[in-house]
Amino acid sequence: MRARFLFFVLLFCIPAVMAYEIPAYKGMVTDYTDTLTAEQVISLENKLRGFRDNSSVEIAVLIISTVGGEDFQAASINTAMAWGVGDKEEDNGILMFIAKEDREMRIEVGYGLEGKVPDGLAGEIIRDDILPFFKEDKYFDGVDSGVDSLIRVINGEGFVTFIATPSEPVSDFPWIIILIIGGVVIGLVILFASFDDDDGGSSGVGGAFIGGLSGGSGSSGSSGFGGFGGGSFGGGGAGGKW
Amino acid sequence: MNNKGNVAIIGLIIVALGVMVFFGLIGMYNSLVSDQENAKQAWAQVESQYQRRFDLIPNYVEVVKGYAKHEQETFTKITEMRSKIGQTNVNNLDAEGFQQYNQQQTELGNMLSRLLVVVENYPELKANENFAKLQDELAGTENRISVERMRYNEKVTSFNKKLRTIPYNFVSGFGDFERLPLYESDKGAESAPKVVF
Repeated sequence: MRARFLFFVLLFCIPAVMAYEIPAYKGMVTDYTDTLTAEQVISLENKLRGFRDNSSVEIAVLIISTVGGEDFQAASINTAMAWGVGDKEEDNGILMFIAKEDREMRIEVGYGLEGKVPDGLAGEIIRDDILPFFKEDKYFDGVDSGVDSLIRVINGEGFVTFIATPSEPVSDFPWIIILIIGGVVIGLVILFASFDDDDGGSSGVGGAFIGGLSGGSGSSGSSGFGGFGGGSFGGGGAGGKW
Repeated sequence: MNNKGNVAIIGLIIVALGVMVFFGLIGMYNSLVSDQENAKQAWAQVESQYQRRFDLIPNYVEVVKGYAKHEQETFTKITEMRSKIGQTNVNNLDAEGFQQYNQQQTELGNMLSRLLVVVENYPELKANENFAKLQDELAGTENRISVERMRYNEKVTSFNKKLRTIPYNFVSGFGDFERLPLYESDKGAESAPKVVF
């Protein structure tokens, strides 16, 4: 007991020799355990970047294998602060910090979101929306479900719990509907354009529209990530183990 | 004529240097004030988290009491410590009072941490979603206290250091600058000190 305490005191005195080193982020989603497939990462990235564009809120996800015996809460908040998740003025960042081998996770909530995502709610999201999936080794489903709940809660929509349906795959974004709508719109555009006397104008409109649509459906996951906004954290949030 | 010119130039240089030094001193004084205020603000953050915990405790104890009947002694101790803290006038603390107050808060924190672990043994309690949320809030508050204490210590250390370094210690006499006390966790703490950003 004494020896262990002494060990921790020494650990404190030599912060450079921490067992946990803050990893570099690769984007809004950073997975150092090869758990998520490339498509899954892209799908999450798109969702998170879209949310950031609409609301300025940055939700980041980190999956590592272990914190190496370091204090879990300290590792989580240190990472969130080092990355600076969230806008500098608003402090509206969230870090979903997952240590796969440790079977422990935290949702670290920035100062500015403590009102919308109080500790109890963060805990509920972890217990009800994330851990049931993690217990079945469905890491993408858990992360995706947690992200969806966080987005809904931050948007003020309340959230629907996904309990008891971990065997259902989370559905993909309904591209088929987009294609149908797109097809109808293009059809209408061509129809109206055909009434136009100026041939150059009609093909120009149709071409621009098709170009815009195909650009939108392409993956934006490969574009560079400029970094986070510099937001700050106070220790709010919740954790869970599975 | 040359002599008068030289004297005038030297005079001007001395005056210019004097003005520069004067403004330099003002800058240093102001930076000491700024650091001191930052440290005080950091303390206010700690105090506000203490208050948050203070407010959460009665509800938490009430819920746990119903299930964890063997922990009666712990509940009593927690309630007593909370009461002692409630009677402390935070605004009028001298150095010793400050240490004692923090010691009490730390002990309260230790008791609560133990309770947070003990309730793991009561599955009916853990299954209760309302309890789980209360637990999250309490654990979250403990975490916040930890974070704000470390940040306070950082601000205080940087202020105390500046107070003693060479250019600043000339200016410090002009104002009400005294070393600020650090938060020191009690030596008997069983939990590892956190290294926080």
